[in-house]
Parts: sequence; structure tokens; C-alpha cells
Amino acid sequence: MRLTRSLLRYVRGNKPARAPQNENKVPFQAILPLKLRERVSGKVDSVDTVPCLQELSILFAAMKDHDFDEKLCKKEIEALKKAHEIAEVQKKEDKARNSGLVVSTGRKLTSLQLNRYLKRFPLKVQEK
Amino acid sequence: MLLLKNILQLTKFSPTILIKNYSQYAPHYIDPIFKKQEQDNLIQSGEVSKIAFLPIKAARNNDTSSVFHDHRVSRMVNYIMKGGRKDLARKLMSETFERIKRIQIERYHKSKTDEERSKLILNPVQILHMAIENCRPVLMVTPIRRGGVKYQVPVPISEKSSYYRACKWLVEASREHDRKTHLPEKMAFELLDASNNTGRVVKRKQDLHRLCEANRAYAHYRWN
Repeated sequence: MRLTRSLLRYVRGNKPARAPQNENKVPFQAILPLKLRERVSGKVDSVDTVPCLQELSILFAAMKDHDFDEKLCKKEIEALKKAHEIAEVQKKEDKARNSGLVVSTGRKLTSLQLNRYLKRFPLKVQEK
Repeated sequence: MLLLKNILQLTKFSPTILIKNYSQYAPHYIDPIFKKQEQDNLIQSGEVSKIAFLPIKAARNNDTSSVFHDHRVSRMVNYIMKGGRKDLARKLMSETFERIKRIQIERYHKSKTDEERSKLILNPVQILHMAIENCRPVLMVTPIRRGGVKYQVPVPISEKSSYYRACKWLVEASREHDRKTHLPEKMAFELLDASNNTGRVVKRKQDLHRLCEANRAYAHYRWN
């Protein structure tokens, strides 16, 4: 203690240093249990991508060029329709996967699946 | 008395009652395929084996394999119908067709060259189909709340929904008539206009597309 104080004085350029606190005077209080929770947050999974945005902007540009005459932008409409259909199928698949009806294996699990597993098989923490 | 006792005994051993009729079909039931042509197509393509053992809904009483049956027409009749009066709705629809036919035949006889005549479509059902096709929107706007403000976000719509919208707009436009004209009269004009890609309903569709274009900056607000 004495040594620390004098060393600190050296570091701080001959100014009086604050004495370090006594650890016993400030006991640590564990407000929450000191272990990981049995769940993960779903923030990572919620990727905010809007489907067929590219096709939509192309269609808008084409429509503006042709004064909203659809017969002249059939190609863009077809592209948007196709992209929309694919997105709808994808949406359905995602929903089925998240609902737990589809069992998926591997390392990549959604937060919902992971939470379900954690609930069923809680983490075993070795206690002292 | 003995008989009653027997019945009671019987019911005691049959606790579950087989329910035959639900108020609604379960989702795994498929729609009936009631047209001969469609059935033949299924058989030829071999897809019939996929649905061979699936439960099928009963055909509705207006589903028929007659050559006069048309899906779009029967939908349109349903959109015209008010208060379940289907006979009236059917009558209005056939009267509309009659008026279209009369107008087109008049035009046919008035036209001078063969070229003009060949361009005219005399079949009113075909005109209805063309009108609906011309009125179908590609996009629509849906209100989405972000940060306390409602944005009109443009979204692509499904084929089914676009057909519904086109039919609804046509019927709505036909209902807006003055006291002396009847619905079939107005509807015939609206359908003929729409089949030529002109008229109020086509304009309404274009206005919707313009609104979508104006709100294109909010397109990324849509959540999937």
C-alpha cells in the first residue's frame, strides 16, 4: 500500500495520489445471478431486407418514362411478378422454419429454434 | 321400454359421434375441378396422380362444365350481387352483355371497311375479359406506421388480389350513375371503355400507380 502510493506519486509527477480503496469496504453485490440466461435475443435474425425492391424501382422508372402505360413496360412487370412470387414462397418457408414445424440440424439455428432447444435442454453450469 | 334400454346401452359404448358436416372445410381439402377440359389436362400431364387421394370440396351449385360457364363472369355476378339476390345479379349481368352485344353489332353495321369489322369484338364475354385485364393494378399502397407517422407504402400485389380490385372498381364505377340510367346500361359503357384501355376505371388504376410512384421513397419501409 505504501509502495503503491509512492509509485503513483512518481507517475503523476510529484502530485499527491489518491489512496486506492479498501476492497473489503465495498463488497460486491450480485444483483442478478452470475450466469448466462437460458435464452438469446432475436435481434440478429431480424434482417430488415425488403424483397423485390430493385424490381420495384426499375418498374417505377420504366412507368415514368412511358407515362404509366403498362403495355410498354411488360418486361418490368413480369420481373416484379416473378420476384414477388419467389419472395412469397420464401416467406412461407421462413414462417414454417420459425414455427418449429420443420426440424433443421446444423450449426445455423434461428433464435426461436435456439430458444426452444435451450428451454428443453438447459445449460448445466458447474457450481463451486 | 326394452328397446329404449338397448339404445341407451348402445350409446354408452359409443362415446364419440362421427361428425360428417363441418361448417368449414379443413385446409387440406382441395378445390373441385369440374371442367372436362381441365380434368383432361390433369390426366394428360400426369398431375392427377398427385391429387388422386386428396379430399376434395363439393362443387358449388353454380359450378358447371357447361360451355357457357365462365369463371370471371361468375365472379363478376357475385360482385354485383347485393343481399344474396343472385337471380337479380345474374339478370343484370346478362342484360349488360346484351347491351354490349347490341352496341357492338351497331358499330359493326356502321363500319364501312372490312378491316374495321374484323377489329371489332362482338363477344361480350371476351370484352369483359379484356376490360378486367386492362383494369388490373400491379401495385397498391398500404398504410404502415413508422415513428407515429402513417406512410403510404407501395407494395406489389398478388394476381388474385389484382383481379378482385379490377372487378370491384368496374362494379363501383357502374354503380355511379344518375337516376334515369340503370346499372346494365352504365356497366356496358364502362366495360367497353375499359376494353379499349380508356375510361374511368383505367384512369383509376393509373392514378393508383401514380400514387405508388410518388411514394416510392417509402418502399423500403415495408416489412416482410
